[in-house]
Amino acid sequence: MLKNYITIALRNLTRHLGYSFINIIGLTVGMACCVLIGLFIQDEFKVDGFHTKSDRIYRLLRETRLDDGNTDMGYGTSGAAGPALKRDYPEIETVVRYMSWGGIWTKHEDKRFNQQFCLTDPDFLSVFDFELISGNRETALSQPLAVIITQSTAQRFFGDQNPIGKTLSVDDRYMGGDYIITGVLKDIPQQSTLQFDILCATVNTFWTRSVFENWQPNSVWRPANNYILLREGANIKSLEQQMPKFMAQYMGEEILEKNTYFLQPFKRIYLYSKADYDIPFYSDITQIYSFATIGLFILIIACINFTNLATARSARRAREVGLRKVVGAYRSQLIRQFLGESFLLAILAALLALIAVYFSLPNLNDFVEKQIELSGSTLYFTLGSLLTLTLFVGGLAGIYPALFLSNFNPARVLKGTLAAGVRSGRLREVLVVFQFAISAFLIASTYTVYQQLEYVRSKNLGFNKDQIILTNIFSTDRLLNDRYLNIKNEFLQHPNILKASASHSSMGYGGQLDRVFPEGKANEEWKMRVLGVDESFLDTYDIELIAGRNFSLNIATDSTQAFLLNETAVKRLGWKEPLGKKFEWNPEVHGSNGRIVGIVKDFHNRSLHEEIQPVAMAMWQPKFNVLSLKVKGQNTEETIAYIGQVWKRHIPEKAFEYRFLDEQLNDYYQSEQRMGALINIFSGLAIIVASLGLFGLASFTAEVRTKEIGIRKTLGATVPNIVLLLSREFIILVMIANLIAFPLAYWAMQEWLNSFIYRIEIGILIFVVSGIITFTIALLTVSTQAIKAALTNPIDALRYE
Amino acid sequence: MIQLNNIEKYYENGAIKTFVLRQLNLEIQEGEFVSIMGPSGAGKSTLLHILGMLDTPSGGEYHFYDQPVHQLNERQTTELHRDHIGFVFQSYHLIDELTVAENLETPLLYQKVKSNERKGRIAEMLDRFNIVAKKGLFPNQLSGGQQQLIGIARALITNPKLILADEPTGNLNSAEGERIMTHFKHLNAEGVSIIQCTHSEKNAAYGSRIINLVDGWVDADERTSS
Repeated sequence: MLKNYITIALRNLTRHLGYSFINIIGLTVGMACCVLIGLFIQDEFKVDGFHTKSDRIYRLLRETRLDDGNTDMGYGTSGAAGPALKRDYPEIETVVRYMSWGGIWTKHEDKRFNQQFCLTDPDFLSVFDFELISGNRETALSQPLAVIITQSTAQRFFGDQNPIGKTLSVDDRYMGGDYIITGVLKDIPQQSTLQFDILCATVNTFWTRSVFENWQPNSVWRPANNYILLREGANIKSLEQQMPKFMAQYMGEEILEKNTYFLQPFKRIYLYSKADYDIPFYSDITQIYSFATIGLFILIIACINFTNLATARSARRAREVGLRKVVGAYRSQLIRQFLGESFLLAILAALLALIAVYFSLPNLNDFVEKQIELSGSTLYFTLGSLLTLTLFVGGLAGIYPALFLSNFNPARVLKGTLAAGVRSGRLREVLVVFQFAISAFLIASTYTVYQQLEYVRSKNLGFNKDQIILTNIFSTDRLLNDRYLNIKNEFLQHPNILKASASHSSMGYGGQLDRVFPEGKANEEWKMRVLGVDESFLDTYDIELIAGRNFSLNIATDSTQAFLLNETAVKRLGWKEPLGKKFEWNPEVHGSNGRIVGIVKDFHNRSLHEEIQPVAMAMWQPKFNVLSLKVKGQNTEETIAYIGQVWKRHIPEKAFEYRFLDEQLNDYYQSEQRMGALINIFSGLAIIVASLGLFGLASFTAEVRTKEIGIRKTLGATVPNIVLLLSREFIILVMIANLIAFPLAYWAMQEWLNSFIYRIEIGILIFVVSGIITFTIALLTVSTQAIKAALTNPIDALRYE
Repeated sequence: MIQLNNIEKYYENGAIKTFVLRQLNLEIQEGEFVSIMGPSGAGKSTLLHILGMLDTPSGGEYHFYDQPVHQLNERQTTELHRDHIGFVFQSYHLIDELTVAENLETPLLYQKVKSNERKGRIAEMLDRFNIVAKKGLFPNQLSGGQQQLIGIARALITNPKLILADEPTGNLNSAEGERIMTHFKHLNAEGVSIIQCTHSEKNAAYGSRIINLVDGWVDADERTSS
């Protein structure tokens, strides 16, 4: 019996190749997309989960309520908090501090590389499970001036030699020194939020001690993170409730009034930082939801294709059903047969999907910068989900056609009266509407996402980001700071280098948030981002000065006493006449005679994820790090070569590095753009699968109505009449689908846009566009079939019956 | 074998009832060869479908042997017709996707006949109808007469007590038709009851009884000399 079913199924499959193709390809695409999206999501959830104690690890967060009503949630906390927590609370097993110091130049003999340097506590390896290949886990970090390095770093410096006991010289104002290598770690997995090349637990300079050992209750800049390991069975809620007391005890009631400590579960840092604490971080759970939704959409569309095509095709199978009933089949046996067929299709699709996943995974990896491999748990996940999908699709998509087909009355089927009756199924119409509603929704959403990203890309930032080359020449060699004017002039010798400006930080980073003391606000705590710049910053970046004057080299006091404010700062301060007002910042350096000398138009010193905040600018020569060079658009390569030469002249021992500002700014939107592109791809696939289904459906409709078309043509109907007749039904369905999709898309996109400070308005255009696209797709797919049917010779059509 | 009491069949279209069969009473004994005749739309096919339990009457009683068919559920009637009745159709109704041998096998599968016995019975049928050479072919590779032979073989393979044939020669040329009718004659002689619908006086004459149906009524019911 089974053999008979399989024979029938396979022969049906091969005899109606077009139909089988649409079904299997649709299901394959649906399943493959689901699995790929699933693998991506699974990988996202795995981040930081590989530490055996990860369920007991928490990160200390500090919320600060600012005077302007905003709150600021930071994961940097006082270095002194860690040891105090460990001392005071028995439920805490240990606390490790962790401070990522970014890339710094590291040397061994003649080899120099820029390496990620991190400062931590000796307990680090007992809290986190990073695998130590050589060295002693207990003592590797506790020796003075000891560092452990990753395998790649070891390879880079020492090749195949044993690095243990060798020395690395670190060139840094704060972390600098000669360190002895005491351990080598296996490379940090990509599924880790903690990433470093060199790990050190030696706090040796005055500065690192001040960061690690002091409370600095008022300091805005707190680079240390505190990772707390709870004892097993300890209650995190009760510990968190004791935090206000803890804060007051060590930093005073005044701090407690404006600050709160939170304990963030370590495993939620990666995905939930934004959702739980509004800290923009690596990834965001809402993105995960969007992807899951799209994956589900594609699957549903493919299932609908399956159901629709199977019922539409029922006329062809009706005779078989009737016959089987005549020779004695129970209805249940027929249901089993048709379900079996849908399972067979689903299994074929699953096998193809497995192949598709295998071959497209490298592309996905490239795209989302992951290293997902099909082995171990991911392989089980893939096979498991394909099995589940097979059961789900085979059952869900197969059950209705099976019930529908097996219910035919044999007497009527065999008389041939049913064929016309199955032409229009109400359910099929509903399903087509549903399918196209999803398509229209996806098109409207994709279009909105595209528009928003384009808007961000092209938004007027208030400064000119084009043709600006950034190079960290001053931070690479501190001694060049004092001669910044000469250095700038050397670059300006080249005719293609138009302007040059030295500054503390580059656009995007946007200056350091710090306490300032504006006139008349002595009793209030004011914080602003302070940009340390030189006299040509405004000119280089085309920032508009709207009142007063720029910094001047001719006025000696400007270097310590002059400040520029942006419009927002003036507005926040409520100053009518800002010029000449007293303004203090960093009194040890700038003294107390600061004055406002000019006001600049607002510009986006930070990414567009943030609103423009009050900004002060000061000349801050000792802390210049970055040189910005405005260059001509032509002969860029030659210009860069020249910049390299000048660099080489001053810093021969370190490799020349540069970046274009626009590229660097783009990094802030990279994850969104990548996600946007990914959404585009998957939505595109969804729409293709939907139109495949419509195509199949249209061809069957045309087939079933062949006789009607023939009769109409003999009665004088023209080809356009026939095409309209056959297309009309689908056009109406697509129209209804659009009407359903629009409000949903509007609501969903409004939600999504709300996460942007600067966003587009959803206009009518988005719906016009998605309407036009869905109609075009529907018309093209349906009308090719309709035209084909309309063009056939009427006599052929009639003879067919 | 068959006892029909006041069988009615009508289709409701809004408030209008269209009658196909009206108050039909009929008794058919085992071993009879009955031809049902009548103009198009007289209800011949409908009557045959009701007799074969493929369709349910709108009213009346139907006894097949001792079974009250009108009181049975779908599963029970399926069992009943599966085990006792074979069908032959005007347009053969073979399954296009299956070969001759597989078409013959299908009813046996539903009767859960063991594989060895299935093979035996198929071989017997192929032999009996002289179509051994055709067993691997698909229906569309055969002529109409050959297809109808397969149709009859398929109906007989379950050893039914009754064959219901709906215009079995309607699509065949006269030579082919004659062969088919001769087969029926032989079958009847072997003890299989046959009920056929036909337009042809000549074909009707092969039977032992002719029932004339007009507008859903039995207009005439007579035994033939043969």
